[in-house]
Amino acid sequence: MKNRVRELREARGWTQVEFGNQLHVSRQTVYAIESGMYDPSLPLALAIGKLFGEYVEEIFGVDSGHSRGGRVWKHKR
Amino acid sequence: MAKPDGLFREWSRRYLFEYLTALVLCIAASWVCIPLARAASSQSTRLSFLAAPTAAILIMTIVVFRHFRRVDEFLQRLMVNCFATAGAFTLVWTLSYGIFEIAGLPKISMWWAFGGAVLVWNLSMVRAIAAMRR
Repeated sequence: MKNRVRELREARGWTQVEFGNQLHVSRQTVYAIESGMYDPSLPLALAIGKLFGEYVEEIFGVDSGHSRGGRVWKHKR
Repeated sequence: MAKPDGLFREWSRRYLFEYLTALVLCIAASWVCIPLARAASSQSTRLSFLAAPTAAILIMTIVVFRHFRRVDEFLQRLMVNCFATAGAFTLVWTLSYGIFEIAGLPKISMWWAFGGAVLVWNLSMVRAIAAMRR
């Protein structure tokens, strides 16, 4: 899943450690989220949204239909 | 409170301290109790002596569980993945070797199953940590 976490974090001048400390997650987790390696849980995604003052859907978006966390199924219409 | 160098290092430091303490306790209990158990005359005394290292192993399990509860969701997922890899490896190799034993290969101790699982668990963790250092 693509996201704007790195862009929003850098805009606020926070390092990965500073950002992670505010969410009580490790720098490694911040890196994994920013690189798209890991999709955060709903509570963590909501906490990220609250920290940035933006809606979750404005930060996280579905890209090409695939995610490392699992396949995003396309519904037949 | 989080240190400036990050939560991961703080969690790892606490885990290492607790784990090594439990490991030393386990080794000490084994070192003292196994010879005593071997020398004991009755089965009940032997079992009582061998319960001490088992209690230390339980403490090690609690330490691993405490670490699991302490870390964040991504690290929890990595830990579960590493446990699953070790479990799958142990299932495959013990079952395969069990079949080969029918063909005449020597019967081996259960320590080999444990050692294999711990080896794969640690290798998986090292690989995961190395991937995160990029």
